[in-house]
Amino acid sequence: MRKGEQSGSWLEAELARQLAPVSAPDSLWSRIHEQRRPLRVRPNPWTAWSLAGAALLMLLLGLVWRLGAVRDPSQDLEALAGRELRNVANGSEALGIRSSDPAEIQRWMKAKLAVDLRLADHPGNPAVRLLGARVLRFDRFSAGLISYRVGDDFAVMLVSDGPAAGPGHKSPRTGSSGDMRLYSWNQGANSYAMAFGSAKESKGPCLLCHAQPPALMVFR
Amino acid sequence: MVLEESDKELIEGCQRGDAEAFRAIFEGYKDKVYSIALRYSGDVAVAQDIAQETFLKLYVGVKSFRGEADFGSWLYRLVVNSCLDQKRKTRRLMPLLDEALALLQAPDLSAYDEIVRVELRGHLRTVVAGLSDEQRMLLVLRYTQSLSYDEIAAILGTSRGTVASRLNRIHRMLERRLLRFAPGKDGKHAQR
Repeated sequence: MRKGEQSGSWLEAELARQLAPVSAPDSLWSRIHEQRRPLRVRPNPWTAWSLAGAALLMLLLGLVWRLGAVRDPSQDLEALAGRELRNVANGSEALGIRSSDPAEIQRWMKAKLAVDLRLADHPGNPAVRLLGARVLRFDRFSAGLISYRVGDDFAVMLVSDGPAAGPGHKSPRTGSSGDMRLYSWNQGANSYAMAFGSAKESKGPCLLCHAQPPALMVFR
Repeated sequence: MVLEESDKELIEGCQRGDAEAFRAIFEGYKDKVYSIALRYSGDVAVAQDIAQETFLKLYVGVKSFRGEADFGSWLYRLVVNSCLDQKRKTRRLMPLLDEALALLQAPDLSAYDEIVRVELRGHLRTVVAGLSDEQRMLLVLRYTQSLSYDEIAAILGTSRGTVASRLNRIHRMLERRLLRFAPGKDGKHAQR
């Protein structure tokens, strides 16, 4: 203590006496020695948070991708239509029914897939010629396929059996993919896709159902 | 605590992970650390916990110790923080006034003086136990370690004036409450 810091009172003497230092017990070292471990390098908390954030982002992206695949399968349906069109064109398509009668194909589709189709009266559209139909079944949905020709080109139309396969857009959209033209839209609880054997923009495939084809939105 | 040249070497050794250097630092400071812990907590088991925690903190944190600061002040701060942390964990803490020393009475003390001293010890213990954590720590640093106001101020991160005024306030309060135990001019206790 410095000079001037001591009051010299009996109280200070008493405090100094009763708060006097003591010796540490011998057991203290063994307690510390047992607990002492080599220094552990802790991960930078920011690094840990970054990793956690990246993992969460990947999880969310995966979820979005998964939901997107479910909610907007028009790409799937379009791709499927393109694949089926090639099968039709090379004669490898295995149709469930071969018929050029629209009423018969409508009944068959209703019976097999519970989907109501309103096919156009083709005698009024001599350019359209029905070939037949089949049903494709997948884990998430089933789809009815109608195979037909428009002029000299093959075409297929796919219709899903429920909203699980529905694309996000209602208006028909069209675009080219290689040597074919693809179309997709949503109507009611069903989604649709068409593939046409000509890359040129055309409303010809729409004649399957429409005497007057709807306006198309170009998407590619 | 004054950092001597040998201490610097020990600290550097400790920073390199030298177990012998750590042991040497422990041996050099264990009594000081334990004394503060015991006088503050008043419980032998708690004091050992505090001392243990302090040295483990030292072991882990010594790598970050830079020579600019006084090692003693740095270590005292570790003890003080460990004490305050321990206080938060265990609410019942009573300063252990040295009963063994109190029993050492002067040969000329009368039986009456002895009774008064025992009573003073009990009252002092009660009064000190009623102080705030910071007030009690001030007393411990001042009377257990005989630290100057400047040293205490450096440890607690405050000014010398603040330490002086707070200690003065504690002294006045203790004197007021223990006035009847103050010895007379002849050095003998006279209860008033």
